[in-house]
Formats: sequence, C-alpha cells, structure tokens
Amino acid sequence: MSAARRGLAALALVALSALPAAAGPWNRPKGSFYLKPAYNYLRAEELATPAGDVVAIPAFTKHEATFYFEYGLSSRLTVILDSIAYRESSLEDFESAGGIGDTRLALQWQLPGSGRFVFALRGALQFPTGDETKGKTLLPTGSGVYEGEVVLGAGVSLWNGRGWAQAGIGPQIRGGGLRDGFVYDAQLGGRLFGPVMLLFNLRGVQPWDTTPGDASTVSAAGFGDGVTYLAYGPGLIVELARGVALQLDVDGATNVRNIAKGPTYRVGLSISR
Amino acid sequence: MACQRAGRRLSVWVLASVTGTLAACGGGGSPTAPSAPAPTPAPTPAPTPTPVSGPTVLRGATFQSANGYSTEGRATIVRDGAAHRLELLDDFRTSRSGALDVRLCRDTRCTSSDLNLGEIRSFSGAQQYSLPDDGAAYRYAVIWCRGVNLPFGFGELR
Repeated sequence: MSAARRGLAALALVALSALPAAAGPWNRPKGSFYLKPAYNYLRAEELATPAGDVVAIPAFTKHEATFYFEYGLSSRLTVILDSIAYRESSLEDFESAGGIGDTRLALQWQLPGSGRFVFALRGALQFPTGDETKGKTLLPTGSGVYEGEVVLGAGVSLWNGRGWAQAGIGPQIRGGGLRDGFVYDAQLGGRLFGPVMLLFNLRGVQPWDTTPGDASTVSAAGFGDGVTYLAYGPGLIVELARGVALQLDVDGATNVRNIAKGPTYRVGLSISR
Repeated sequence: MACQRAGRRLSVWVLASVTGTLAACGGGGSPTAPSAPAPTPAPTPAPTPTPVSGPTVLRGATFQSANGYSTEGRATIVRDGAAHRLELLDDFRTSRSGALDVRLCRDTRCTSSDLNLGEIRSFSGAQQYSLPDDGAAYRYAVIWCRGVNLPFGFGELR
C-alpha cells in the first residue's frame, strides 16, 4: 500500500471514528466510548404467523427504553453492551406487561484490513434477563433462553471518510430448543450536509428451518421459535454538539414469521468520546 | 322288639308334630284338605331394567393445525346421563401458549357468541370440559388464542 493510500485510510478511519454512530466493524479507539440510550416504539395490527401468513390481530404496541454502549479496550478490541432497560407491551383488549429485557454482551475483534476496508469478528452472548412469562407468555420481555451469535463484518469508507458502508453476517444459536439460524445486517451512511447524516439500515434474522414446529408460540414480540424478519429503513443523525448527536430511525419489515408486523420508530441520543 | 316298636311310635309322633307346626305357620297349605290347585298368578312381566348407559359419543373431530401453530389429535362430544362434555383424547397435542382456550364455534374463526369452555388445562393428553348441552349448535372444536384472536387448530365435529 502506498504512503498516500495508507494516509487516506488512516484519515478515513479517524473520520469514521469521530462519527456519532455505532462503530460497526470499525474499532472503537482504545479508551473511547459510544453511549446511546434510546426509545423505541412499535404499533402493529398484523401478526406474521409461524407459517408466514400475515393476519389481523388486536393492536399490539411496544415501548422500549434501550441502552447501547461501546468501549475500546485496545486498538483491536471493542466491548459492546446492549440491553433493553425496560420494555412494556400490550395487546388491545387483553393485557399489558412490562419489565427489564434481555442483555447482550459482545466482544469485537478487528481483523487486519486493507486500504479502505476493515473486517471484524464479533461474538455476542445474550443473557435471558427478561421474563418470557409476562402477559401469559404473549407479552414477554425476553426470550427466556441464552442466545449467541458470531458475526463476520466488513466495512468500507466512502467519499473520503464522509460516508461508509458496512455489512455483517453470521450464525445465531438459540437455547431452549428454539431454532438456530443466521443474522445479517448492512448499513449505508454518509454526511448529507453540515451536522446531518443520512443512513439506510437493513438487518434480519433467518432460521435455517422455517417449517412451523411444535415450539411455535405466539410471539408478537419477536422472541419465539422460528422468528424471521428483514427490517429495513432510513435513519437520520444530527450532531447537536461535538460528540453528542440525536438519531432517528424508522423501519418496516418483510420476510416475516412469528412477529408483529408494523413500523418501528427509534429515537436515541448518543454521546461519544 | 319292644324297643323297635317304641322307636317307630316316637318317629310318627315327631313327624306329626312337625307337620302340625308347619300347618300352623301357613307354610305348606293344609295337609288334610287337598283342593283344586291354587290359580297360578299371571306372570308379571319382568321390569325392563333401566339401561345403565355408559357415556355415548355424539360427535367427534380430528384437529388440524392453523396459522402455523401445531394442533393435532381428536376430540369427542360425549353424553353421560344428563350431562355432556367435550373430551380431548390421549392423542391431543397443541403448541404451548398462554391465553389458549378450548371453544366450540360455528366457524373456524370464533366469535364472542360461540361457546368458550375455558382455558386449556394441558397442552397435551386427555382432558374434559363440561358442556351446557350437546353442543349441536356448533360445528367446530377450536383451540383459540384469545390474546391475538387466532385459532391454533380446529376440528369439524361430525
């Protein structure tokens, strides 16, 4: 790699590190952090059944307070804590239930990259800190089982560090007899003007086997067996001050099974240093 | 000899005493006045025994899954005396869920006017639910999730 290209790559990395967005496959520099508390809201009047049919249901609403934290342990290691601090959901004419949700702890190792490209391997373990029995099991705050995933991610900086694209894919392992599958995600983002950045997000879960099984249960919340989705939608980041940004996202879903189908709105305030 | 004669006399006396006693109790009719045989009473027809009827199966259904949830096995409506019940048989099994009811419905999509027999007691195996009548107004046995208003499975009662 030429010195110029190496310099450009370093510049892009620094620029991306300074972006008020989750790092993705980029490493969080040692000692720096990114923290984003957020509020998520979903209202759905349709349920995708385990068979993949979309049927009308009484309105399902979900409110979530989430907490996302990244910390750079070293020049190659980033630790990530992602939790649902509180989740309340309800089904019209039935019940509402709330409580703490599940907690994920992940460790990301940045692999040697090349030029503008970076690669990372992320292992995550999800702890069943939520309660799968809430609302007669129809309104759980967690899956009730340990889950894990290993994701290989790749990223590329675009437009001289003013934008980025990233994608990841890897196996997902679910305990308690729930079906395993794979997870994937992708994001394209860039600075639109001044403090405003525009994103397009895509993420999904795909079980290896989607045949309805004995463990199929109603799970509007998306914790059940065979849950499948591809969520996609735009996002907006507005830098309010150095290291402080407001992020808005909205997503819809397709390729859905065993989950409520409706738009999700997210608003978060990130602090990074 | 004298001894034999005395014994015979004693036997006659005993026999006479015994027959006299029996006559006084009215147990054997008059031994001294044989008459026309007493009319044989008309045979009374044996009372028809009330049938000790066991449970009778009125209709039965075989479940099929719905909406991607698993339900299988059989159900029967049984009359037992004056009572009726829905029986889910040994081979019954359904997906686990909360708020899962057993219902008799006019269609596979239940409405509030259909008959809710209550929350399911077990996700598998034999179980019984009382019925107010023979359930003739309903065409389907349905395993119904009231949280999301969806059937997990149903069987047509025939």
